[in-house]
Amino acid sequence: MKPLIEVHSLHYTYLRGTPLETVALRGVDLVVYPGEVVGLVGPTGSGKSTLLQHLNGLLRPQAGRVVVDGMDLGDSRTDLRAVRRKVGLLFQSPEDQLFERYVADDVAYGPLQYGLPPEEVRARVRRAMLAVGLPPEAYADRPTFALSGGERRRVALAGVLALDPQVLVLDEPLAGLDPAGRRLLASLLEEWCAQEGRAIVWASHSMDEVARSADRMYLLAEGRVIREGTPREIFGDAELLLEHGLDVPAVTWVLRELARAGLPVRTDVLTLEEACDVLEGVLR
Amino acid sequence: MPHLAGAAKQPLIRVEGVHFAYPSAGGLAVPALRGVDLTIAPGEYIALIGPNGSGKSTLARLLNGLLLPTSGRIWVKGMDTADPRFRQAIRRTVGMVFQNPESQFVATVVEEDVAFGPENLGLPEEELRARVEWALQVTGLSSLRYRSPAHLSGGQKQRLALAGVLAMRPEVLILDEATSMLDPAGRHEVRRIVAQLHRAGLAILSITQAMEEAAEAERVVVLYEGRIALDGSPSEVFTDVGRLQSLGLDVPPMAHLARMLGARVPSFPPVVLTPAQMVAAVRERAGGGCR
Repeated sequence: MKPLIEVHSLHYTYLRGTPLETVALRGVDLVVYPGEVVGLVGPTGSGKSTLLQHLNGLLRPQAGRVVVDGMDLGDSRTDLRAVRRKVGLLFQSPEDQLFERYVADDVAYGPLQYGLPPEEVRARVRRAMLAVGLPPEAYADRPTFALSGGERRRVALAGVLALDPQVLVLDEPLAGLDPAGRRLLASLLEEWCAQEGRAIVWASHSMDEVARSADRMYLLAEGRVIREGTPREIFGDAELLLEHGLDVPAVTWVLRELARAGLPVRTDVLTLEEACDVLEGVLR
Repeated sequence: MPHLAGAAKQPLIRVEGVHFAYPSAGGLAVPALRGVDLTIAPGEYIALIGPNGSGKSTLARLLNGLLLPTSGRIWVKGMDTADPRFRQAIRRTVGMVFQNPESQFVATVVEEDVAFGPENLGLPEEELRARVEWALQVTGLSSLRYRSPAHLSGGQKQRLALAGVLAMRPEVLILDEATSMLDPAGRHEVRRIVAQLHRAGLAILSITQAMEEAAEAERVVVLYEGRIALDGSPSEVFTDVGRLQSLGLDVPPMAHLARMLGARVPSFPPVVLTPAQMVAAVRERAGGGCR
């Protein structure tokens, strides 16, 4: 299968050539294939945000390559607008960046900027609002300030989806939402990604969230990829995560502690259901 | 039940019949709190939870006088927050740390940032020094005192915001989602320091969306649509799954696991809230057959 995004030995240094220069990326390799949710974890300062900003061309590679659906971001002739339509980026707390007074206007802003015809914009706004669970009949004319935090975040997501991207790049998409809001948004994202040829890159500090959502994940530290694999493979190596200031999901922690206490339990467990099966075995 | 024992003492904060509405452009007030009564005793550790928009942050800002009630009254150690004469004393007593620590920094050097608040209190030089040293030490920032706040990690920044508040010697610390944007190591650091401050007698009011974090408090207060919907110990509040889910909340993951296990292994105890409790409960009963 052809990857949607390919990153090869990407390097990036902030304030290069000044006394304040800071190396953020020291040779990162990453691929994103259609149909997968790729988790990205790493401590503060590991280079995650810098990497995310390369994926839709907000930053151009200083060394190494970033290729999005065949478009090379290092090539100055590459049209970054085309890249940004392919890869939608949702920052942390994007609800703080809503600026139109009414919901539908905010969602329509991107498509209008791209000069799409009005009927096409209307159709896209409608599709995007439905995809995030905000039916246009009820929400299009609502003032954005009167929405809850969870609703505002979904409006921000709809604004990105209205550009009809193939890849969504999300930075802490569920942080700060209440439990019901988290459940809803996680299932909406899963549904969106299930459609032909789409993929999600999901960066988070919540190991439980990544364990539940990602098909494959990367562990970043000090500007390098320390490990790539399935959540089961990576969370199975608790020492590696702890060494880098990260964590394991709560159920993995519990089973690891029980194994250390001498109980015969598997420790490569990620979900409550699996943990329940394993624990039932030792409790019977 | 620690909060009942605490309630017998003179309350640190008393909230009575408080309503609050944000003024809006059209003149139409948006109600955020609709009649809240709450008492906080010295030294209590309370988790304040509730769905987005339930009024948690509004309540926090009312407690230290950043906002004033539209109706009803709030007393901090007997001082009415609406009385301007008490404004300074109330802000010293009730310290607040927010989600984004950067918004609280005022100086370009860590040590100076910590000293900024107490400097404005006109304290003697010796007392000022002692407070800054203490705050840096408690938050583990002594070795970073000459750094620029901008060059600290996420966890270190939040510890600096905390140090600045602690240097004012507050009696209650309000944390408004103070760890929600931190990486796991940063989150652990801040939570460990907060637990230590609580053991030393500081009252804590922690606003959080992380149910597993709320499970570690002594008392859980649930806000819903501007009113207090539940108020009790974590084991009281977190056993009612149906009620919590109807309020847009949830029980901590370990409470779910305990319920699922309890359905298959009838002897398994229903009240397990934290991973450590789960480990203990399983170890106690493992391999016991019909114990």
